[in-house]
Amino acid sequence: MDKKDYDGFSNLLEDMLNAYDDLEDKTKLNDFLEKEIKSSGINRDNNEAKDIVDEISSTVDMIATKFNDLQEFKKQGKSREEWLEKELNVALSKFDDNQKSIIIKQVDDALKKNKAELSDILNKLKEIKVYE
Amino acid sequence: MSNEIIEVDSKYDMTDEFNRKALVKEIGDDIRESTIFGAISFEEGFKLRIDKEHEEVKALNDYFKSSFDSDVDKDVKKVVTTATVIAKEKGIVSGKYWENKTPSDIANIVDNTMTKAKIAYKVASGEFEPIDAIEFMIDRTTATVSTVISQKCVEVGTATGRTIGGTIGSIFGPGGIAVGSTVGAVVGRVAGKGVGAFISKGIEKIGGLAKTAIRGINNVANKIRNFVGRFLFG
Repeated sequence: MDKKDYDGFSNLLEDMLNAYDDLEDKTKLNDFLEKEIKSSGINRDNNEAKDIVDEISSTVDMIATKFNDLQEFKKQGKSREEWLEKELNVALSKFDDNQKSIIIKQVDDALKKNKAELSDILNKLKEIKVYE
Repeated sequence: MSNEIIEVDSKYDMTDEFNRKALVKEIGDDIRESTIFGAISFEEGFKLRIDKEHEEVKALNDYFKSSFDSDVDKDVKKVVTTATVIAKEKGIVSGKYWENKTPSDIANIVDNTMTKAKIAYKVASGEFEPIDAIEFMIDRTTATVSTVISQKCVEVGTATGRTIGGTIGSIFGPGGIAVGSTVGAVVGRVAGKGVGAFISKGIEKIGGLAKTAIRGINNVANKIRNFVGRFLFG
């Protein structure tokens, strides 16, 4: 990223954070974000702005909910692995045994691949052209 | 997902309780190790990019001082994610690391980056011990992996075209780390000198502990162990 883009991203973020700070009714956050997307012109239609905000909002909320569920689970003396097994059972419940195996293999392969690419990750961090 | 039968190794037979527990433990270990590696990567990529001269932005100041997953916490992450999506779609940020990143991918990456920065802030301000910070990060990654699996399992059958593995790679792989570093650098800059200095100090403490923790991991691939030994401790 060159300095111009770095400044551009910084200014965009700062403007949005200040506008959020000025938002009197924070329960209207999604409306505010939809408006920001529409005024940026990146959406192809009115529904797309709402879809983007819904996707972002539900993802952030779901991580928080799951994280807090995990904390409560651990407070009962249970392990992180037991929680993960519980979560997998729920998420995969609609699939047959073969499909479950395929999905779990994908997860396992992806996590192992990520680990194996550590050397690349650390090297690439040195190559990322973030303006300093 | 189609109904075709794809043969997979018996290791992935989820009907066998012994297999299932062993596999979940293995996935848990992978998440733990990936989180520790991620903490090191975060330190390597983040520490030089805090702009200590920038004036503070109140919303970010509130974010770092708030508790985890409070309303302010989640709101600011949503604002940062939306700004990042806009920056990507407008071409302000671009390149191969940004390709094919969905709003949900970016939300996962922003949550991960912002949470790490906040943990670092709280470690530096004395609210958190570094060892608790690592445990917290592992739990957070576990929750994120579970989120991806839950979301993708709902999408399966709606022709989304990307596998769970592809999504996990997009978030936690090199592309995810690179996007997270860019977002982190910009957040660090905008956070301002006061908060930025705390984040920087906390990241160093956590990174130092992560490097120590990595020495204790015995079952990582030789390639990684050798590389880390040469690169970080050589």
